[in-house]
Amino acid sequence: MPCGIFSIRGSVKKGEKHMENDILLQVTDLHTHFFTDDGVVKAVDGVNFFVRKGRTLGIVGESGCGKSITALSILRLLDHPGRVVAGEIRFKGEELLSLTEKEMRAIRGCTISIIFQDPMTALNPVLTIGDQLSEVLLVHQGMSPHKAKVAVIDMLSRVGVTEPEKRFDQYVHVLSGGIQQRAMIAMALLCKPDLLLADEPTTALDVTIQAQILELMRDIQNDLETSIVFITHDLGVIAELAHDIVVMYAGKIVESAPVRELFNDPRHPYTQGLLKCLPRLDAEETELFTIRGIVPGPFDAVSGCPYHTRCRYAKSICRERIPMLEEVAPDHQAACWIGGDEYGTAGPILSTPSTREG
Amino acid sequence: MQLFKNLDKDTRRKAKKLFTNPTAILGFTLLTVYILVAALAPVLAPPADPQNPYIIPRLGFLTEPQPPSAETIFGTTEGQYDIFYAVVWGTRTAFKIGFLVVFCTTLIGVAVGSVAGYYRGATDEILMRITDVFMSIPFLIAVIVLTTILGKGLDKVIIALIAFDWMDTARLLRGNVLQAREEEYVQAARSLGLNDLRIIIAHILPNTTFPVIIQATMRIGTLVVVASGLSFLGLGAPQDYADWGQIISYSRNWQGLEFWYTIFFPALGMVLFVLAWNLIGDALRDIFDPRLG
Amino acid sequence: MFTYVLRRLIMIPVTLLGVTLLVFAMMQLLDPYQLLSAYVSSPAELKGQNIERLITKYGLDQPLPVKYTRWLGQVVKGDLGWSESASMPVGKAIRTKFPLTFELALYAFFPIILGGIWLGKLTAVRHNSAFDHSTRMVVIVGWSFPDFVFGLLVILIFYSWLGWFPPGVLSNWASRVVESADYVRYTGVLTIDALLNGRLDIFWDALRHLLGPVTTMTYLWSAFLIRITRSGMLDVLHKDYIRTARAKGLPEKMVIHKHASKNAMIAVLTVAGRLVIYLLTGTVIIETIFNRPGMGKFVAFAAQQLDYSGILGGTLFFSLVLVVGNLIVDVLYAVYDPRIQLG
Repeated sequence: MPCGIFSIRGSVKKGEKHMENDILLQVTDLHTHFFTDDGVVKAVDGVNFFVRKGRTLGIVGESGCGKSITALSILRLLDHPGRVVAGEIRFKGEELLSLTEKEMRAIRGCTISIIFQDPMTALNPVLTIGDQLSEVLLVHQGMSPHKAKVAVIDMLSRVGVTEPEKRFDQYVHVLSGGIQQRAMIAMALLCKPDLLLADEPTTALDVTIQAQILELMRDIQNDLETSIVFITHDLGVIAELAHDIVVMYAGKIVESAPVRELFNDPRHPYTQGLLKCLPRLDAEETELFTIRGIVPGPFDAVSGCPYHTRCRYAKSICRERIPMLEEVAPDHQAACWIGGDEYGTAGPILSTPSTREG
Repeated sequence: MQLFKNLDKDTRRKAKKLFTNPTAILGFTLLTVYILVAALAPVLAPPADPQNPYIIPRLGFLTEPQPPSAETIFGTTEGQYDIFYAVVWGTRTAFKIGFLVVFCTTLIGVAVGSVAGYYRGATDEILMRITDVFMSIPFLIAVIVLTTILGKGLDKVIIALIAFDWMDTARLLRGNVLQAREEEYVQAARSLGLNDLRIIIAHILPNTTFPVIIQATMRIGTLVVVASGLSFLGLGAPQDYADWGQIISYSRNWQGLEFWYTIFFPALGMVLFVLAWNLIGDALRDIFDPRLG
Repeated sequence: MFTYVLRRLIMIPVTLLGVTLLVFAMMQLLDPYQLLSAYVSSPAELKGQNIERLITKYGLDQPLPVKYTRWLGQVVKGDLGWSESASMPVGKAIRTKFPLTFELALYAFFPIILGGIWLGKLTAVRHNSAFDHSTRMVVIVGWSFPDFVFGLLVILIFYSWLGWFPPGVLSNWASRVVESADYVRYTGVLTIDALLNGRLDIFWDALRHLLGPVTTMTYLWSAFLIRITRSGMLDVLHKDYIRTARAKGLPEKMVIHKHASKNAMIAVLTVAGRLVIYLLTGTVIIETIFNRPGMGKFVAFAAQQLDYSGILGGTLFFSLVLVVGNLIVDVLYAVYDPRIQLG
């Protein structure tokens, strides 16, 4: 499945340095399946993307689209009955899928880290924060507990945790959500990873805390030149942080583009729908937009384009054949038969949906 | 069927899984054998006195147990009671006890639990305190005490078992009802002004009874064991009654290897029976909730 | 934490009061003559006395509340009446016999817990492997054996056939020594007393006699513990924080022993606690079969002999053990789990 050719020069965000863009992580044709008692679930169904050094890739999609599984596949953290069945994951030139478990363990938490959605459940309730954070240093860098403590307290204050010495001996449940998440971020950064996978890190947090965490992540990227893969269902959240965005639906990528391009000129009806769902204070509509229909269940077989059952532009070809990702503009790919020109590139948000049947 | 439809799709799917699980299949097979034995008891071991089929016939009056022979497949125990007969009819006794006790305790437990969980407040507190008190006497001890006070006999044992075994069900139900109470469909029903009892029975119970059934299954084995234990001690079934514990109690006096059959056959009968229920219960737990144990 | 313990402590008398009410209610099913033995302090009183006078003396013809308070007053003072079957006051019977039950529980506890937890963890970690399935089968079969059946089988094989474990608590020669005047009874626990008296030979003899019941109980009960540990571990192994631990690249041994175990042990701890309580209160049949004159056998015998004061006293005692035991378990649980910082 050929990838589009992305230009070397990335878009410039306000206040960011213009960076050299070599590719840190390249995922090619990834297929991850779950072999359950009730059938095979194709959670990730042929996914391609790459992440540049020091840049943020946003993976956007609704629940069940396979975005989290993609992240877990990269680190090979899939629980039975899930398995990567095909594809390549090249990280700094190495093929991750062919490494031994021992070699993967050396990478996890060290050169590639992951943070999860709900810090309350993702952190161990019976171990202190300090204990859990020090572990990565003890295991990956052979640090002494004393030195590790110093490093952990330092990192905790860097991520904005107040009174870090006190927090070191505290348990997870006494901390607020924001601090828990910061602690988890600190834990992920202690070994200065090249790549940080963030699986919906702000979803479980209040809006104000969300903003703080996003700002923290931007600062981290600027300071440490860490690449980030930011997984979310919320386009609004990702707009601030990501350089490039990939939109997933039902295990496949339906659109990928640099962030500004995606917001200005969405080409896939699903992306357009997602954008339209974002409430805007300056919009004229008084009703909130929803994409009608629901995501197909794990065992629902959908012929042709997985989105066609909900798409207002669907034609018979959409029902019959799966569209491939094609370049629709420089750096910009979409998997849609209808393509961009049918509704033109005039305006980012579509007008109120008509009752036209698909 | 209506009840079945009220269950959610997930539960139904799991119920179907039950019939393919090897542990469950083995358990069900064993259970079927026992059901057949119990049903066919009069045929397999014709009673000497049709009015009192549970009295084990004596083939003579020898004190010493006799080994298996053509006449008595399992041999006879002290007093020449036919072991085969005892094991076969003991199956019926076991089922009687098991089902009767489980049925009654489930009724009581469901009633207490759902009232406590639904009405909460003072009612809940009082009912739970009472439940606590009942749970504060060790089960076996409580049953022994009540049986002794009421007098010996299998029916007294059954009453004693019922009196002290409803608490787990009550707590389970209470927990489920407390949870279900907050569900939207219940609040909807209440806002429609439906009668409380109706809400409990038609809406809350169907989805909470599955764990109860699982729990009930797991208890049958234990109950039969406890009842047999009492009979073994001489506190339950009378001397010549067809009850496994009863027939085993004789073997205490004959502990030599040559009397192996006095313990072996009844023991086999008991163990496989309990095993059947345990297998089923285990499979149920594995499929529905590994934590129910 | 302190207030939590305090609250639970306050609940104990309330629950125990409830138990006395329940026991009293059951007592009312008996007629006054049968009840008398629960009131008199020696059998001499019962003999040759006018029953009517005795009934009046002990207020058995009074209305219920009066009867109850009188009886309760007696109970609280430790006077549980006279036990016909044991030929001594019930209180004394408890004091002399409970140490033997305690001894059995003590020696059975460790193999059950250690073996059970170890195997439980192992089967959870090797979930769905051949080892897991075969262990589970052995466990289920073990769990399906009624204790008296298994006990009898153990006796059959190991005593009748092999001659290894003798029933009873001591050999005849050892009993004579123990009952002699110069042997000091410190605790009533045979093995401990033997050590305290400097008699190693008696110690070994007592230990030998424990092998039968302990083996029986270990096989039957570790089944239970294996299952609970296994499901606790499995539960924990699927939790998010285990995934995080693996995502940090920690060695698998560390994930299991440090991250999973501690959490799983919380569930196991409660079960271990309940196990102890059961070992102390549920040995009626084991003691009867193996001829250990502990509290369990006392209750069984009392029941057989229709010794009402005996079984009632025994019930009250066992309930006390159960309630206090539960409190201890709950407190330990709160201490062990940092999440329970209750106010």
